[in-house]
Amino acid sequence: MLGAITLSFILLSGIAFLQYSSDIHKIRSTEHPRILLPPSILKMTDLGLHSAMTSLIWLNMIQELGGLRGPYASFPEDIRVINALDPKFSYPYAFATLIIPEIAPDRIADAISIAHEGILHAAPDWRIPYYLAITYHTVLKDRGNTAKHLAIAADTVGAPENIKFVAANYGAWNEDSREQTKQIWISLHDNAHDDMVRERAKNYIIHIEILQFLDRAAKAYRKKVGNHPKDIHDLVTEKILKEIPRDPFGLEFIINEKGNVETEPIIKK
Amino acid sequence: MHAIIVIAKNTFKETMRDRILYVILSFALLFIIFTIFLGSISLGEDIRIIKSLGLAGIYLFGMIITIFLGASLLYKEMQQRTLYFVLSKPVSRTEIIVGKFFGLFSSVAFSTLLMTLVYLGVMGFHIRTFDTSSLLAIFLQILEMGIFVALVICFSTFSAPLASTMYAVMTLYIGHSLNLLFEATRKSSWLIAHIIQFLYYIFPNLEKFNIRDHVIYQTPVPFLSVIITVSYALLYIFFLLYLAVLLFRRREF
Repeated sequence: MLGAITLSFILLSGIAFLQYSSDIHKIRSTEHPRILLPPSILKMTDLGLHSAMTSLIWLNMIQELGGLRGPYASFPEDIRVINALDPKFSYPYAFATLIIPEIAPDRIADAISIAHEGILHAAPDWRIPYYLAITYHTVLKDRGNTAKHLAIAADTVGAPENIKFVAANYGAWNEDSREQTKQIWISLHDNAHDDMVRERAKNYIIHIEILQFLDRAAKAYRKKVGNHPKDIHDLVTEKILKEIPRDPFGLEFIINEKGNVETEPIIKK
Repeated sequence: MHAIIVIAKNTFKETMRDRILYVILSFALLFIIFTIFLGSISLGEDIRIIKSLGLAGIYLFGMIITIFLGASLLYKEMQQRTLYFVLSKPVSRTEIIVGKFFGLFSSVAFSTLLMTLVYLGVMGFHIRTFDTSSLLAIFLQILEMGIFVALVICFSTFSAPLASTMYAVMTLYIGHSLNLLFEATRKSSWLIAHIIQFLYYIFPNLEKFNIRDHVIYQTPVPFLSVIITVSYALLYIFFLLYLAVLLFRRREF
């Protein structure tokens, strides 16, 4: 009996070791593109379990987020398969629209194309045009398309009231676009269900609030000294501030020629 | 009637004693509980993930139980010759087939209800209310399994368990692909289109029992369509059992 237990333990240990070695080898070897069967084949073989199949594809897509920069990142293709199998599953469109420009700025065209497909083919979901509006506003600085897609989002069934408020007031604020951007991120934070999007929105809100705070400090400096600060640290030197707040994205704050506070671009390259 | 009830009870006890049932059920229950973890990594789509995978799990494991238990139901008794003992009693072959059907159907329904309880528990834990919309989907799934119970009993009257399993699995795939096949062959030649159309109306169309998408997206299911589906299931079960009785009567023991 003892011999049987010992032998079983040795065999299981060998199996576990071989699995570990296999994982190490897999990490070092070249990644190959994942093959996804065409939707028509999946539809015929999934026994009518289309929503379960798309759920699994979605879970797989999320795991690929880290490798989105790679040559084999298959977000657009995965979303097309999801749409063919389960057109009502709209969240992958919205999520891809928001996340792709953040993680892979060279694939913004993909994000916009995905969003437009989602607006056309997925079940009505205010998040798709809304997240597309955010991309147009923050990344492409395209106010025309931002306003257009905010209006589409506001008109979509189920859109929350604060989305309608943002859409109605876009462009109407007298302050610079920072307040508009902040309101967009606040409404996104209040209405998002997943922690990743809420965390991202929260960081943007803090980022903008710090910029607004530093702008007020720069105005106070100009009032005190007579001209605008040349360097951000002048605000500390002149005892306007105790210290420069830390940006949640780790960006450095600078003063431009006009004396306004800026940072490096929000989207990290 | 009494004979049917006795045979059904014995079949139920026999299938519930089968160890493979408990192995499959354990995996099913673990899978349903595992959907909680899958939901937690879905970035806000947890309810959808749990519903879609939970209902899919109940369906797949229920079908596995149906096919594995049913494929050898009659054949085993014929091989072990225990059926001869039953046939020597004043019990008609019709009563044997009907009794076997109700016995196996009860086991399958019981297993499905167990999985449903776990699923409802998982959903209740997540959404803090009773997920009533899934009950209709599971009811229709049980009816679909009823068709398969009748089907495997029919197959087991003339074929070995392995062949019965293969026929049942093929029927499962074809039954869910009929709509696609029908649409795809509309533009084919007259002969092929009519053959496919004939098969479309005769073969069990299993997609009509699939309302899982309605449950996930909370869209209403027309009452008339439910009535038609239930009637379809009852009629098809009756037809398959009748066929099984005819085949069983022709066998000589």
